[in-house]
Amino acid sequence: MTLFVSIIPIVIILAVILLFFRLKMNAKITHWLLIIYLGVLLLSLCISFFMKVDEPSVLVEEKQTTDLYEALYSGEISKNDTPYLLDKNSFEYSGESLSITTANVEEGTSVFIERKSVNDNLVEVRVYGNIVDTNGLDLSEKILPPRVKLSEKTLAITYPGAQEIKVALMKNVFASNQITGDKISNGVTTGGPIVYLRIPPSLELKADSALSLTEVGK
Amino acid sequence: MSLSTANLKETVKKQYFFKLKANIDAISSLIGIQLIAVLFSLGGIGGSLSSSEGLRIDINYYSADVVLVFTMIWALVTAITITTKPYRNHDFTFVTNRLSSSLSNILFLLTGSLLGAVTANLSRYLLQVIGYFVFDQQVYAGPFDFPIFILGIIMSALYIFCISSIGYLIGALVQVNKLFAILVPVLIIGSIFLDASIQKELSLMQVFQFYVMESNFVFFLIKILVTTALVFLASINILNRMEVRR
Amino acid sequence: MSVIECKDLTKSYLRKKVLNQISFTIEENKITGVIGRNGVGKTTLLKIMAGFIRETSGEIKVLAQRPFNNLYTSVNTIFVDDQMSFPPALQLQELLEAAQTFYPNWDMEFAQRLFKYFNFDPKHYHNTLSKGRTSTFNAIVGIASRCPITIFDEPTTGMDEAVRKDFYRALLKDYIAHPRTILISSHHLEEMEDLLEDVLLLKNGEVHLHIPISDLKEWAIGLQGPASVVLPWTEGKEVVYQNQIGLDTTYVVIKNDLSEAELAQISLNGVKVIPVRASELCVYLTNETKGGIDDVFINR
Repeated sequence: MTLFVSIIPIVIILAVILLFFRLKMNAKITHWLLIIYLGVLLLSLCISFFMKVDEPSVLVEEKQTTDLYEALYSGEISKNDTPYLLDKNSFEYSGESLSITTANVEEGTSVFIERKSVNDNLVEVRVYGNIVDTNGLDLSEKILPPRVKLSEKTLAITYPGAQEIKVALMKNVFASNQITGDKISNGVTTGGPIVYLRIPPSLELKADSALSLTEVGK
Repeated sequence: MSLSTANLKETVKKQYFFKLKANIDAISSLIGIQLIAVLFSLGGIGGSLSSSEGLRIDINYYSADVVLVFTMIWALVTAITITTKPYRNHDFTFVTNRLSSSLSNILFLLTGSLLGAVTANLSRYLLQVIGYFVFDQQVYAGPFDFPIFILGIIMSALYIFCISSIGYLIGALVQVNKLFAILVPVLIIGSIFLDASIQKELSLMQVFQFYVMESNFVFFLIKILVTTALVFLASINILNRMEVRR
Repeated sequence: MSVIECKDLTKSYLRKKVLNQISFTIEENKITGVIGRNGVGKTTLLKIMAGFIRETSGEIKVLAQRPFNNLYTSVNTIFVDDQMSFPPALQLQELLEAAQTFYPNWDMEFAQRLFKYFNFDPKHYHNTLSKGRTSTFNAIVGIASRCPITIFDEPTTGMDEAVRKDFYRALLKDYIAHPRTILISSHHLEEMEDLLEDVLLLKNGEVHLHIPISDLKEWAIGLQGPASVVLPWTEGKEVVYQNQIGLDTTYVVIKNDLSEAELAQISLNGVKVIPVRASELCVYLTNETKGGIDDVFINR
């Protein structure tokens, strides 16, 4: 049914083209064609103002100057407020060891561990991630972050599994991009989603083999 | 019978308005070719990318680029067409000389370029609307930026007009000698093969980059306007010696 | 005042000379017929006058200016033939309106009356007209534009007899009301005889004769009778045409410089003296051989 509906405008356009090829000798038809065409284009412009499309945010400066993984490995990422942050949570935990279980994880997925200098009995969970297209639109909000829960002595990370983000972007014509400096090539930078744990200094972590724990800031 | 005088400006003006009516079919083909380009653009340019953490990103880029390129091709063909015999003969049915004929042709091409530039730049909204209502595709377009919109039209018009000047030159050369109809494509394709065979960057590409890589608007304006003017001037000179209706 | 002046005008395509050093002048407000065989350079000459093509050497002045690439001569000249090119996108009515914007002397009311008389549909297109209708429409444009120099190159191509007569009559009437310089090339001299004032006869790329048509009508006489009687009279005369009719009858056309007395003498000798029509004479003058096509069939 949807297919049928979607074919209608194409049929109409083709019909219009065929019609003008057959009657192209008649100047009056061309005038009408031009008026209708301009009308449709202008109407589209007007309609586009009212179309509800949730706009992606514009890329912030910091993402352009710092790289997500560099910031992760250095351990600096937790020190300041970063636009890479997708989700944030913290649990009180005073045990000596903590095991991490996962669901929907891919083999070799990294979890970054930062040991805090003082023991405040707090396990802080941060999720970082990034999707930015070359034209400077930030689509990171569309990432479904992993859910992290603490129960007893187990930290359960539930990855969202294979997720697909579908986005359609309208670009300006290449003729104006060369002046505005917008990239002519299409591309996207991605990172994450990555679970980042800030844990007390002496806490012992046990994780299943699928996870690769990376300690940072040492 | 009293003799009349004719000045160039008046004659060009009359011929220009005459050509707007006479070459109306060119406008139909512009609309046709743009609609076909819109059809081609409806699919967008897809790029999917998998990230390590099970993330798959599917970004579909939409733009009026294809429409603009098609419009340029239209300008090239239209410019070649109006240098052909029947079109030049239309002028010589009435009052003309070769200069006024060329000048009114250039004005016509300028009008076509402006119209093509406006419609090509507007066609992105048609794409957006069709995507939204027909394919249920929300296309992020960013807020409407009037200066950028106008810039897009001006830049497009400059490109289309420049391409039309090249078409006019090719048409003029072909009118001098039909061999140019073969020679021009052979030269273009030959230069590509030659550059490729000696592993050199394509000269055609370098010429292309001279314009496309210019990010300063004023410099670009100077480059493209000077080019367009020179190419038209060459065509005027060639056509100025041509006999008609032999 | 002469409006068209040619001096040693030559036009060659590649090596072939189509016009060979022709010189003549055409006076203002005269109707001149340009006569000659096919391929003799009539159209070439007229197109040079209209500024369409360039002379190879020599000089041509139309309204005291060189016509090639000249706006002044273009606005004062119209060239009408069956190849006249109109944009296919415009209707006939729109074509008339376009002509009006270009030609300052255009008489739209007159054009419309002719248009209606010849039953044209304003909504039709030029490229759908038949050959004769095309010529008729072009002729309307040519007459109604009232250009000081109006050039018709074979304007009656494809027209039927009635339309041809109408055309010549319309042209003559409009010429009387609005005198202008008119050049017509045509094969049908007999139809134009009453219209023309001068005849410009081209032969082999050269001007063979350029005289008033009244002179042309008297220019030659035909003598018909037994060869033995006729032929002595033609000695020393310019023989234009000679042909054997029947067994012993010869028909000879000679340039008429005989005196009244001589003519009387000829008649007494039993030779028929026949006036030669201008159109007939033109055919003889432009023939390559004295006997015309019959020469092909003798002495085989």
